Amino acid sequence: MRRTIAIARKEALHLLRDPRSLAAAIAVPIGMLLLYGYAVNYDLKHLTFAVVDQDRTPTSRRIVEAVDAIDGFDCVAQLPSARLAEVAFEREQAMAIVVIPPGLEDDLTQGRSVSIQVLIDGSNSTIAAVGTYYCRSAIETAGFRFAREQLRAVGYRETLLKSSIDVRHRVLYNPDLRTQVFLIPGLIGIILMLMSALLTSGIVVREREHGSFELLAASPVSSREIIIGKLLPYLGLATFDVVLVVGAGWLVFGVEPKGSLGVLLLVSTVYVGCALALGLLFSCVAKTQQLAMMLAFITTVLPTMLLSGFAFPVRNMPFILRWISAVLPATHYIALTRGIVLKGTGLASMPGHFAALVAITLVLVVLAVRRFRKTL
Amino acid sequence: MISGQRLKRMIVKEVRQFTRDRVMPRMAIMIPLVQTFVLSFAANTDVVHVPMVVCDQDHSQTSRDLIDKLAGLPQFELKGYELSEAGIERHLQNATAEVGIRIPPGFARDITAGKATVQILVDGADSLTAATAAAYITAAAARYDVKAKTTNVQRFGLRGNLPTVTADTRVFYNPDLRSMWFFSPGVMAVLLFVLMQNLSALSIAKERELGTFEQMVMTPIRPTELLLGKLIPYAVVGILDTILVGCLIVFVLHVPFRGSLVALSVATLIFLVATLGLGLLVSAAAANQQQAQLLNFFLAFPSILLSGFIFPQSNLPHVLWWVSRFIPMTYYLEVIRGVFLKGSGMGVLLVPQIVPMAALATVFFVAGVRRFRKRLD
Amino acid sequence: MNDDLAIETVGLTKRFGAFAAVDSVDLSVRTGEVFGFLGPNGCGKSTTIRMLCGLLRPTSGSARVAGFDVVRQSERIRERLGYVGQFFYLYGDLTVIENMELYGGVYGVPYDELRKRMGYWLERVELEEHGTSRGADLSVGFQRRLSLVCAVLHKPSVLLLDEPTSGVDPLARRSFFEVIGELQDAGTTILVTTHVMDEAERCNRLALMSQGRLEAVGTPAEIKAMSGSGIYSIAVSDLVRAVDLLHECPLVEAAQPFGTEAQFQLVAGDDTQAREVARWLGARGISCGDPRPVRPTIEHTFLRILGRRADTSRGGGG
Repeated sequence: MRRTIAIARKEALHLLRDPRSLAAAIAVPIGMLLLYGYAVNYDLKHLTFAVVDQDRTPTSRRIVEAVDAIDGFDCVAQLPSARLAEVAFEREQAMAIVVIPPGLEDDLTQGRSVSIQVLIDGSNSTIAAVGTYYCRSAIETAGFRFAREQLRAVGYRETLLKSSIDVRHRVLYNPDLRTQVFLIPGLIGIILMLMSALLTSGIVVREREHGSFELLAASPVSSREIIIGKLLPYLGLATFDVVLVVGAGWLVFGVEPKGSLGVLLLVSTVYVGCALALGLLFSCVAKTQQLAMMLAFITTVLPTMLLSGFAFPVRNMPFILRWISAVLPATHYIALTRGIVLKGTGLASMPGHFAALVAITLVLVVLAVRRFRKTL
Repeated sequence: MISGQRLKRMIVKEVRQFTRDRVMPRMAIMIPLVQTFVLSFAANTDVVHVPMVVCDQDHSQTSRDLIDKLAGLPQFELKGYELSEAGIERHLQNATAEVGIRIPPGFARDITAGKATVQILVDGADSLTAATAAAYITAAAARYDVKAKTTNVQRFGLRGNLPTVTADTRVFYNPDLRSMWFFSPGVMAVLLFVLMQNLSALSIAKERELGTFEQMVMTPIRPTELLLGKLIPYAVVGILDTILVGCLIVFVLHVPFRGSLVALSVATLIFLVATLGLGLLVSAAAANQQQAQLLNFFLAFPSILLSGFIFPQSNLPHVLWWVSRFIPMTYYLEVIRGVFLKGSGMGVLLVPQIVPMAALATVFFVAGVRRFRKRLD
Repeated sequence: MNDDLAIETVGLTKRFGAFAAVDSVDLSVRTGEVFGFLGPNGCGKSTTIRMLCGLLRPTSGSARVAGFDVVRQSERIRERLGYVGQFFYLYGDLTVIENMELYGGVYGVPYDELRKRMGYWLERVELEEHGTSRGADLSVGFQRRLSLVCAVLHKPSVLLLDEPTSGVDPLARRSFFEVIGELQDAGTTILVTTHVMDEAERCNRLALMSQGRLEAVGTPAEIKAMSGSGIYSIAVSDLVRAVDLLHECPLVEAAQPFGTEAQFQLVAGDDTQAREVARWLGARGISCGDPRPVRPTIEHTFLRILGRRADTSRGGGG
């Protein structure tokens, strides 16, 4: 134990004297969070639509205004004919086209139902799905409001016309419904994984240059202690990164940790340990296989991003993919972080995720230590 | 000033080395195929299977009716019944449900009087789902209400029907709004990018490490010839990959392909050159394979997060939008989606997408060649 | 510019930070000669060679190879230069023939001519049977032969060899130098770096390098003459103790074991002083025979220049 601490201290001094590593360890995670934190969100900020108004009455204009009034919708053009729709979509001039038929006001005033065509560019299914939904609601609501006015004008009792059901919304945890809040913990998880990989690659290189003699000199029994001793400073550095990144998320993006910071730190430390072990495992592989391992390493970026619940909900995935997702440490970390940061959940309420994270970490650490020993 | 003989020799050498490697060729083909297949199923932002809990404090026929309608919506999966709002909150906290509906006591009575309320609770943490889920429920409740109202009005003898305005939506290109149609070609593009960039960067880094770089650089070979000799075979591999994965997407995943093969081929070629050129720049900057690997890792992020692959480009703040203009993936994704889903051809794609990408490709490749020194220091 | 000089450097220097790997080297290698570049590991030989090849940029000074400047005209040099590195720098996953085709082609040898030369060389260095073996599967000796062949397929006017025979058995070494001789007869200028002293004897001229500086240049005979005189060998009863004592003897400049005897170099003087040394040893309890004068070798010069007291026996290492 004492030897481990001594090794750790020595390695920490080495690390502190390497300004480039330190600068990278601090600048890179912050830089990435700031850069990508602004990019990741699913909010519908700028949905452009065009109008083909074949009625040109106050009523038709009200319908158009109702759609424009939706947060994020912008009317960008008036098209003369619906036949130009396809071209408009190809040229990406608008994402939706509202086609108001001639005689709309007439029909409504005379008590006839009307149908408004909404053409949607479905090529971006994410935007299209939500956009369609809001568009439809806005139009139907506008229509209903109009119909009510008509009836009121004819003298029907208010009570019959007012909507009888008042749907009250209560949004927990993220009242402004900013998708960033949801995505940033995931982004943090991915950045931490990258940082750990970066850090551990340094260990192997340094080992090859300076340190092997230490390990050879020591007896086989204590080599495990030495390896863990060497890893400890990196764990410390990575944990420091966690604090930095969570802090930045809070200050810059308003993602305020609602739950216990201590628990968050604990969970993050375990995750980082896992990522360090994984990085160590990859960088240990013998040179001849390095090219192959390179491909393996790099190609885990995409699955991690896509399967961990960072960008896409795990519940939507087919059975097999959900199993793969369960094996990825990032999945559990992201679920835990979201719970702790956004909802103030405690570990007791998420035992499965925590247990899984710890289990994966232990397995990887054991494998990494064995492999590291062999490399030397 | 390029010597055809020297270039030919380099290409022959690269091809021989590539085909003789035991792992590389298989990985270069299998990884894109397998990952595209698997990951295409992951990308799904549909609002479905949202777990919901319900709290019915009225226990009337009316309330049960409404609950049936709401819980029966295709987007939701009823997970349980609770006795109070606090119970619903607990579910949301533990992420066992994302939406909760509470019908207060006296609902049936209030609805006739015209002042009923329904309480919806949504887990705002998953705001992607929350807003949409809430909207669905609200709309469903409204429709329920309208129907009741129409019945009412008719009972009071209004001539004709209550005029309604319906929105008849027609979705172009992807009528069922299948996420896979949108993401799968994007997954192919990203995998192609990651693979190609790595192959080119690591190839050169490896030669530096082994020392074969030193020997080759001693010859009269020009940097352009040396680099083209490496890139051309990899570009061929990239094209092969695109064809194979493209076929997978179209014939196995049934994503439609409606546009111009010419446009796709041209764009793919340019994209490959840009990517391989980027790999070149990385290898010029990296001292060894490990550094090259890490640099590639970093460069994968902008292409994945800023290019519109997952997160809509329309959301990017101004500065980042400009950054994305320098990422070849941004343009390539537009081409791919245009060609697969919109039936776009060269006419539409040339100026906005292909030309800028070609400009980037030229810049990367030329910069890579110029930075490439036939020296060791 | 001197046409007679295949290689000419003036004040050639290479610094890495504060460390001068090559320090102001003035070298002149005449066309058609075999020039040896001697020195211990790390003395700057390889760095100098790399600068001549254009692989490293000199910090200061200048160099010309085959009449062209290494910094500004390096491509012209490369057409006329052949380089055999210390280790195997060809492609291990390509076969012997494929490597030859590659390098011959890259050096611009027309295909028909290339085939002829390949045929000739495969036979000359006895690689015929290994034509389809991969580079990585060859023994070190055969790898060296392949490296040499690939460096001469284009008939370079200057050939640079960096430690060409390290790790190679003596028989192979001899045939290697036969090939070198043939190349020289054909007009090639050859620069060899080595730290094997008896290879150095075969060169037309030598340069001794130490810690980045050229310490001595001349024919092997001239170099040997620089060792000074007064080198004696003496049989002793306790070799180790004798050598230790000799280091302390004021009459002795350098001493080392040699075989079973002790060798020492006098500070000055001749046989008389040598017998004095023997008496001095005798007085300290070492019984010895008569000191015999020894002919100076290149190594003696080297050691003297380095001012080191070598302990390694010449028979042991390579």
